[in-house]
Amino acid sequence: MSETLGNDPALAGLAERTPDARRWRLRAETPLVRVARNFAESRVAVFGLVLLVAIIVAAVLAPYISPQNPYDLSEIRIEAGELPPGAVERADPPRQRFDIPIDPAAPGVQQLALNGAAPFTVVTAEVLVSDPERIEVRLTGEPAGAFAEVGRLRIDGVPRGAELTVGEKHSFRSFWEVPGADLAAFAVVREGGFEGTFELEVDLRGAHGEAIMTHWLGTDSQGRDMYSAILYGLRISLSVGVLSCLFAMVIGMSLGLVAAYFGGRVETVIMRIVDLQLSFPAILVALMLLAILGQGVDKVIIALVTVQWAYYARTVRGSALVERSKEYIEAATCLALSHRRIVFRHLLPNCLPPMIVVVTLQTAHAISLEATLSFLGVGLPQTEPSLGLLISNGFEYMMSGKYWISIFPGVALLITIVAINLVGDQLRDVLNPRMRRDG
Amino acid sequence: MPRNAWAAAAVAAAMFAPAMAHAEDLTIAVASEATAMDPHYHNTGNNNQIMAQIYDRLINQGPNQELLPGLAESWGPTDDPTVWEFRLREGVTFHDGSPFTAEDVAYTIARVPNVPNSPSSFAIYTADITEVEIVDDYTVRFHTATPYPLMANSLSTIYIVSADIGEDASTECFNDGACAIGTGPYRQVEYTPGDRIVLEANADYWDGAPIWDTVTIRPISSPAARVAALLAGDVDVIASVPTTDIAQLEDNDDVNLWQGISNRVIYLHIDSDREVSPHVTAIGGSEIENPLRDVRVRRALSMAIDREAIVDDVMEGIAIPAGQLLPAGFFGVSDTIEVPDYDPDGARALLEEAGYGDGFAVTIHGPNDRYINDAAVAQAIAQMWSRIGLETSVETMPRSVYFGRASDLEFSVMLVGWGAGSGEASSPLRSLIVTNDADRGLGGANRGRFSNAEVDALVEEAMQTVDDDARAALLAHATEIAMDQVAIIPTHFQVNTWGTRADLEYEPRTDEYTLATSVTPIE
Amino acid sequence: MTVFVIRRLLQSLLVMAVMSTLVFAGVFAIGNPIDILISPDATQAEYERAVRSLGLDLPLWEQYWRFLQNLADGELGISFVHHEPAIELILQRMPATLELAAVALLLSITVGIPLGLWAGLKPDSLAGRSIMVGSIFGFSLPNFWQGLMLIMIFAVMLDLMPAGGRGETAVFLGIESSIWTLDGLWHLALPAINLALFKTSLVIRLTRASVREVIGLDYVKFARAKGLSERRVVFVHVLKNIMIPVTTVIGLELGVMIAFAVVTETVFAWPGMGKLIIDSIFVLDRPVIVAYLTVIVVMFIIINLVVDILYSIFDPRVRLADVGA
Repeated sequence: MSETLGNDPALAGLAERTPDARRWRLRAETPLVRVARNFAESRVAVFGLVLLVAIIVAAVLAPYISPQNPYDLSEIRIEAGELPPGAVERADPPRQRFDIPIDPAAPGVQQLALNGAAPFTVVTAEVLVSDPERIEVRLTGEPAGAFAEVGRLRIDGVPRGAELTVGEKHSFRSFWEVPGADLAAFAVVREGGFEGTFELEVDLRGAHGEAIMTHWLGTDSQGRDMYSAILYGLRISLSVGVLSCLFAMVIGMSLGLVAAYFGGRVETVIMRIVDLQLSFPAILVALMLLAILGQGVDKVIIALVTVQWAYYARTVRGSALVERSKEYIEAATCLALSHRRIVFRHLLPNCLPPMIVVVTLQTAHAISLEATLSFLGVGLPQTEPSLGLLISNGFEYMMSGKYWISIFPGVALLITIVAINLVGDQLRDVLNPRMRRDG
Repeated sequence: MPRNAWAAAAVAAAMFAPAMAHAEDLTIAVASEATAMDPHYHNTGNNNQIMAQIYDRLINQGPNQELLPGLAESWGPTDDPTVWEFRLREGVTFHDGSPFTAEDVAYTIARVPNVPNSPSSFAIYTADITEVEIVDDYTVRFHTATPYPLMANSLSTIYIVSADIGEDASTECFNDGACAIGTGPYRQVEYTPGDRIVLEANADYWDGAPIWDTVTIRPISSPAARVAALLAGDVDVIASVPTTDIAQLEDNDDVNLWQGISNRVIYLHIDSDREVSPHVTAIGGSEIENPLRDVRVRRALSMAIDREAIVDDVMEGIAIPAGQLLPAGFFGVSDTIEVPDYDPDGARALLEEAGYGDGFAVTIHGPNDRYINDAAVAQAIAQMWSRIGLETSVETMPRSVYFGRASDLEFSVMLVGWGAGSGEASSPLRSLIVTNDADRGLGGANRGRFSNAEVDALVEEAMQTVDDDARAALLAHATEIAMDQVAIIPTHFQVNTWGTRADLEYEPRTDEYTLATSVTPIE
Repeated sequence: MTVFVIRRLLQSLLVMAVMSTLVFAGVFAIGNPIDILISPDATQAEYERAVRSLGLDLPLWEQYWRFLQNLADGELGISFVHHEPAIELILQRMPATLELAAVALLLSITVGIPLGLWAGLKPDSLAGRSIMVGSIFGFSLPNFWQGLMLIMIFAVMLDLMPAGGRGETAVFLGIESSIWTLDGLWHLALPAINLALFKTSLVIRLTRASVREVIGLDYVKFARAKGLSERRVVFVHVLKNIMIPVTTVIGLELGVMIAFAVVTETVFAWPGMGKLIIDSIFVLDRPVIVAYLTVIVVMFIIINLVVDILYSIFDPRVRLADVGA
């Protein structure tokens, strides 16, 4: 019924202007149903609402739907850090270390049986000292030819001034990096011959470990699964954003209204406290609270409330000053209604519309303020990142092309905020007593 | 800048312009700005790297902090080990044209402890000097009460200023340029706090005129913005390239990277003293006797850290695993100490043996704005410890909150770094390892309150030994005992990266300074 | 009016007293600046000397008392870190911040109000919806993120703009500023846009919301019924009535922009006050923090005063006696 009317402007206008229609509606609908119906008039807003509900559900159910608990340090592995989206995390590949003692003063071939742990059960080395400046080394492993499967291989202990015929020396560390395929036969050379014995320390790792899990959105620098981290981060960001805004709004609006309504001393005191509060940088407040209270989600909320309430107070007072001088307040005063009733039942609803804009904006702002505090180093604990902290951590990787560490949480934050705002915009129109279509 | 200095600068520029046809201007971006232009006001790397270009020291420090002749051509203890003699370089002039003599040295040493409101005075390096004796214009003798083997190292930190600036030359006088008269390769032209410092070539420099005409030093604290400024061509050289960007920049043909090991070790200080430590509890939170007092537990903690993984995965390969206080090659370093192997099974066995088979809960505290990737390193260590059954948490905070609390012994395990300003092993040993004794000025940064009589005795003996080889052996021995007892758990040595334009070269320095004199064009 | 202003300024003195007490206690709670400033190899004796020389060994109330005594002589203290009068440090950096904030504010008003009007008058049009959705990007991503993106795109990839720093300055009308030179404006563009992004979104949304509200009111309907041109209705009747909330917020935002352009100044290496205060907070340079906040409190009080006076101009129903206090 209402849809058909609503779709036709002429008819809708008729309905609005027809007293009968209004009365009919008032009788038939509770205010809640009316708000819901008006809200549903915008398809975009409904879409936003569905999205928001989905996000909230995902955040609440994070522990059940995420493949990993990103806050459990024993579940994440630094070795799996910075994996690109879709990569498979693998367990540490088998690692083997052995030393090859070399005595340049003993010419001829030496056979050495070396440490035979995984992946290469038997390793034998043949050391051939033929030339005073060149020592040949031949390695065989069981299973034979397995060195081709070596993932990383380092040889340390090459004497000063000597070189290997394979691989490359690290730019500032003492070891050589050698491709596994070249390990079977290589030589150590040193112009002018060798001085005394030395040991080549070989450190090799197999190419593949066992697959643990696939990270569809990649991992961050600490090896957290991005998908899980985003779900968990959403929980924190949403609660920080919404709670801090809610508290700040309640405190700020009450004080702002009271100031505007009563005026005089009360107003002076409240508004000067507002001036004081506004002049304190968020970062200083956060740092003080951090020093006094310590780190944690609750502390961040306290810091954000402390920083934001004055903002609401100041804004609402502006609107309330205008409303206060209007007739309906005068009328209410004449009726000898209590101050509380006048302030909260008459003044407040009329100051709400601009406040809803500020609230939806500030919720978003609170979330990014939290991210900024983290960026400046005084936000949440590093081991339990929020969306904002994920963005600011990943941000360092933007230039290195590891886009996923910062972009995915950024997109998640963007979608969340868009949803909040779509809902907020429509709510404001619907709740506004002066813009009610049937009002 | 006083008018006459401007004029002098202009004349110098005009005179040498034809001769230096290839010379160019250079812009450097550093991470933190100098707090003042007074060379004796604040002993910190950010200030010292500026001062080192405007002023000389009697003994300058080379790229590896080796001692090089500066304003002194030679030096050494006399037959009396409490008197050191320095022969000064002749024919050196200050930026205002006046000659450098022994008077200036005496004036400088007298000024150092008397800079008002200095937040960190250089007096710690001159405190042992009881008398400065001017033998002639170019010979100075320093007297001390007891033999002082570190005389040369100490004086390699003191910037020599002109005695002409008068008794009460103030920090403000240096900031506005009037007193900023040194003998260094560059002269101070402009100082705009927060924005830039401009230096100009001193064509008369005793070691040859510098390559760059004008050097502009700009502070850009955000690492990403610093890299962006280099990529955009706004600056020619940047300090402290973040490790995360290195792989990408290596592939960029417009940029060169230069890496060098630093004198800074990153380590964990462990509360090995108190019976009950504030952030060590049984799993579940009940109070327990501090397990960190047991050397087996400390060893287990050290073995449980995969230093190669920290270097490869947190530092992106740009660091060196550490097993002691200074990297190989520095004075007083032990040759026998190996980097502890990663051995989680061994660590668990040691914990079991010490009676902590079920683990305990511990919090690692660390700064998040002080060392390269500091917060990430703390988290990585926490991961590794939780693998051997410890319930590990991490709390990081800005250094303004962190260091005060660390010095008040509020933490049990803390991530800290130590850069050896003197470039030798007595610096970390005396501050971090030796028993804390405020009256004698020892163990000032020993925040774990480790105490070992044998180490104390060896360090004390070293501090009385003027002979270099004997002293180096004593320091190495002390280090070996301290590392065996796990006084601290070193994790890695920092490696610093500088970025330059493709046609420039930077000679890396262990002291982490970024100097225009270390930048040369590639032919 | 004069009485009103004088009374307001007197109250401000009290606010500043409270503020300075809070800062003293707060910074004291955070820690001791010497712990950060001193060279790590300093001995205990040197540490104590440094603490004494900055007067930090005295009990807190005595430090505060000394501060008040100095204040009576018109001094706001000497920076622990730079050893220069704190107020001078701040004044040195003020022009850079003021020009940045002014340009950013100008940008956000000239872009924000017309777009907001459009979106409010034609809420269901494609343009109206696009403006609203577009504005969401302005505030949903953190400021530092936007700043570095601007640098990445315009300075690094396109190589059009400088990546940071302040350009050449010149003196015009007795004011030294970088907005008088081409190079200066060139350097100013990116940081100003960065700083203006959030504010523009805010102004757009606020303007739209107020327009949507006012447009349904009787006086607008009457104005239209009277046959006034749409132009006159919008620019006189609508615009004037939406100015109260918009002015409040813009006033506040100007203050916030001047006071805490911290992130923008850090990212763009802009030598302004925001950078100074953040650095000072991180090294606990209390004299600078106190002096800075004093300047900021005064500024906020002046801004609020101006905003309150503007109320009475925009809406004659509001009398200064009401704003009073």
